[in-house]
Amino acid sequence: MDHIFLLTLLALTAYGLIMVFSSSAPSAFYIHNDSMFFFKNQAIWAVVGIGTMLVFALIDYKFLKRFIIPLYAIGICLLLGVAIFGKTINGAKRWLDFKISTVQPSEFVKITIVMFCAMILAEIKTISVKKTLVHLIGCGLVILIPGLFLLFQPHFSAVLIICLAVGIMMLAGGIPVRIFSALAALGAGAGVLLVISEPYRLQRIISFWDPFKDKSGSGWQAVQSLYAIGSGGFSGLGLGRSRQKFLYIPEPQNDFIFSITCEELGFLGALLVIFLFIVLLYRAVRIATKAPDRYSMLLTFGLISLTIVQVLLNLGVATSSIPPTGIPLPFFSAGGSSFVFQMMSMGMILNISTQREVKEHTHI
Amino acid sequence: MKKNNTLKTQKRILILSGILIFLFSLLIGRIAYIQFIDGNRLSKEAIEQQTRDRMINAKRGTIYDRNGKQLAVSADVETVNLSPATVREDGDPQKCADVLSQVLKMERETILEKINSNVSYVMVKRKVEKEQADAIREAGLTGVYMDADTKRYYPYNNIASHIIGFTGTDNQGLLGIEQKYDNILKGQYGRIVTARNADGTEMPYKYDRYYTPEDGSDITLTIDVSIQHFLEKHLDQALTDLQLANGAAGIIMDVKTGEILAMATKPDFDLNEPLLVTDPAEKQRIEAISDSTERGNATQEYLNKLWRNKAVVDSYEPGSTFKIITSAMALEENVVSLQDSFNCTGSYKVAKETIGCWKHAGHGVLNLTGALMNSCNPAFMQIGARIGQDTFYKYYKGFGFTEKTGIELYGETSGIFYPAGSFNEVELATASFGQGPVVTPLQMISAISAVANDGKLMKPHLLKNITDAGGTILQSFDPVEIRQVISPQTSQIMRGLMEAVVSEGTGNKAYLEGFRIGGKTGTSEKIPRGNSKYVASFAGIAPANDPQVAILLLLDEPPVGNHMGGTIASPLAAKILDDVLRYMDIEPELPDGEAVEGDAEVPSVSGMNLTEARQIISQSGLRCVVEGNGSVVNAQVPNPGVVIARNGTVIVYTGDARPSNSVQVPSVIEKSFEEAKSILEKAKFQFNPTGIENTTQNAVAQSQSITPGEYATIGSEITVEFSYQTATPPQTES
Repeated sequence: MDHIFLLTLLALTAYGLIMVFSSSAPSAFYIHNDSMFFFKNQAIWAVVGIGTMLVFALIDYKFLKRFIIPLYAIGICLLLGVAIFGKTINGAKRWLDFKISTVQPSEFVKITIVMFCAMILAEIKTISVKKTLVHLIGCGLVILIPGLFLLFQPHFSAVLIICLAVGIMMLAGGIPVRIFSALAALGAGAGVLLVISEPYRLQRIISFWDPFKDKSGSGWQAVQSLYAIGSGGFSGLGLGRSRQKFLYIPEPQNDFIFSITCEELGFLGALLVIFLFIVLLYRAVRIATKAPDRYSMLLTFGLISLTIVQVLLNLGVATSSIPPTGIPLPFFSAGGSSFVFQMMSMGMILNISTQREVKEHTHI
Repeated sequence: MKKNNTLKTQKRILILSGILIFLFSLLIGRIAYIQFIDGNRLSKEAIEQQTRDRMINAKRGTIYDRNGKQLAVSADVETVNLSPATVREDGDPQKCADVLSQVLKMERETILEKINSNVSYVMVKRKVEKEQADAIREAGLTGVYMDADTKRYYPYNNIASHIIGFTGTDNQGLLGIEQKYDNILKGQYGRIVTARNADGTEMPYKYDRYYTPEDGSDITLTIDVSIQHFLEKHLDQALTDLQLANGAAGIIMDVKTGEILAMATKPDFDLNEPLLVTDPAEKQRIEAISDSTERGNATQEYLNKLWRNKAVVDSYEPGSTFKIITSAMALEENVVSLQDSFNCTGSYKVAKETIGCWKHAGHGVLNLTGALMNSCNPAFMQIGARIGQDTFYKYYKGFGFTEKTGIELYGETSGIFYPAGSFNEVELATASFGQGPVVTPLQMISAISAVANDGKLMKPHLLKNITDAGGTILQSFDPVEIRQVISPQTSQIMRGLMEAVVSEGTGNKAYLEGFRIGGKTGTSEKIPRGNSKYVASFAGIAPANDPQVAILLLLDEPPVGNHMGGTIASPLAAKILDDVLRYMDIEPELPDGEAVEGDAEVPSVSGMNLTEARQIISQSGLRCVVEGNGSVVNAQVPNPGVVIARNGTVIVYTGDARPSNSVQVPSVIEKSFEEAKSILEKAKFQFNPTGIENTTQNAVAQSQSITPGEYATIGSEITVEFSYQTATPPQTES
């Protein structure tokens, strides 16, 4: 088992938990009259998440591979459930309410799609345009059904993450660059269409160029996030000393937790976050390159890509480098079920890391 | 095959993860940019929105006159603010509105509007007195806050208004010393910073920071408020008596140090109500304007004119007063001696221009003294020609007419003159008698002082020192000699000449018994010529033998017919100097050199002509006050043979004036020495002070020999008993 990978995961979880506590305390106090409200919740989920990870680290990935199609089907059923029984928050119907907690099935679906696509792409044995197209279409179809459900919710950012992660997997899996480029252009075109079709998305992009133009309106979140980051300086205002978390940044424990981290812990705190993710990526790549087969290699890389893409998008939004979209920061943002699913995928990578070791041992 | 493919995938994974790491590094750059380059701006803006910053004004420094009298003081007041959200959520809006409207005498509706407004912090009323603020505090209103502030008081109201200046609602200096030395006076304001969340309510955590305000420094001026008062009193009188269309200005300066003892512009304004239009005619005119913008503009225009410090900002042609300067140049350059004679035929031809004398018949043959006494233009044109353009310009510059004096006030102008080397003979000729140069009153008085002060040009200044709140002197301003313009010998001759003008020449109405005054009058027609607008002026020094003060009076646009400096400016100068010199304890010098102490017998002067009578009374060691406009004395009080205190007053009646036998005795109880003396002398009684030792300062009249309200014969002696009172503590400041 890759211990560094595991330790990095635990470090991220601990760091995230501290930041959830710090950033959520004021709004927890105002809304729930208990500064620890979100922290307690997240701490429980952290325990559940770590448990889930360990369980999946023990399940042989080859065993799990057999259940890809049923798992994928379960995902689609859950999405169907959302469409029918789903809970609407802020105008989007993305959650299933299980009373103890709400669950966002898209988090689970993402993983099943990556597993499915890894399985398809692992079949590529030779560079053949005709076969490649078959694989491509296969991956496209895998994305299509849940993708439509997600767009219907609407949950554009989830689709974007899936497309990006699968895209990276395709490139890794051997799709010729020019075919991929054509595909990417197609995807980008579709993206533009999606953007234009919804006025609120267009609005976000416009305000992205100059968030200060409409500080109290469409630019509010971006401006508040920049205020938080800018206030941090090199070493930050000190843990717990964020001022922007006082209702300026909406739900500071969620999408903008990184901004609060920058405010409280400064440039150093931000570097530590990025450093941990880079270590995580590095260890995952190491696991992938030493994976026992193409499927596990692509799966490892696909799952880590899924995580890293989210991290990049989240940081991009927080620093106002890309148009705002609601993407949580993996391991940091409060949000129970997504953390558990996140840990589940990391558990799978851990299992693959153990398989390599076993193989090496047998060789000796 | 499979191996190959796997290797290719491995390679691609490495490349792709390299790209991902590259993206991370871009983000690190972006974060660094936000935090290090944009950080200052962003954190400043963030703090702005996160904090409720309440300013606490520092106590503004006091402005004192040279004797420590407070000219401008600050008193503590408070500003009432409220936090609408806090009042609405945690307080009692109705009670709040009730209490505030009652105590602050404001509309209840107005306060409710503020409570319901959608801002985090709103000001209810500024400059609230302590008692009112206490009443609000006692009511214990939630969400209502009181912040310390200060309010400016000017105990002397109109006195020295143009010099002192005033402050605005934010305690910022807007005029005069208040404006010029705003930075020194204002100190450093303090702050109370309270954190607030996006809703505008206070954060649950204590996040208060208090920055103590630093009080401003005090400024002591060279102004003597008593001298200022004398100057203003007489200028005010002149303003109404003479119907001056464009006001008046006056400066009194310490000849030896350049310290401005008094500087006034009339009309003036009350520093406690600087924005009030007081002139009834102007008020009516402005109120008649229906358009509010235009009305505002008209008000502003009127006020700007009123706030103009004529003595520093306005320039004028000095006219004949400038002949003093020309004389000094000529004597210094040895181009003219006191024996030289000049012929005045009533006009003088320079180049192709014929320029007339004010006396069309001509003055005949005059020496320099005569030319100055008679203010003869042709004589001065000849003197000017002897000086020559270059030398004239050298001295003109030397006396400081080409540059600002650097007085500690805004808006000073430097006058206008022909550029060096490009003024012709005709221009030189007219400039020699004061037509052509345009100067400021301040430049003129400085130059006249230089002539009298052994030729030393002193920098005129208003500041004596700056002290901190504890009284430690931070900076003191010593006299600054700019340059030696003429020699002490020339200066001595000039003092004699100036005295001659006053005792015998055109300035003789400035003659004051017992005091040796030197000076020169001037009357100049304003540009454009021919509009019958004049400036009458007097520039002088006193005492002539040992000059202490210089005086410059400027009467702007007196009515035609009574516009001559000799007629209106000199008597005014005499009245002012009489008060000033007595106040300064400058002993009157009597022709015989008799001691002032002791008694004197009143001589008989009835039937004599005025000049004779004056001389005789003066020789007896007494002062002469003339009533009526005649030239022959027909009555006198007291009667001849009566023995009165030396330096007492003999009233001589001329023309239609007759002594009325008895008048009501005014009260002088509780009055100062000066006031008592002035009151009794005005009522034509003899003033006989007792109980005075060494100084008259702080002496207060306790009793008088004739009960106030009773009738007594004019000229009766009234004995006033004085006792000393210790200086009263300041009332306005704690």
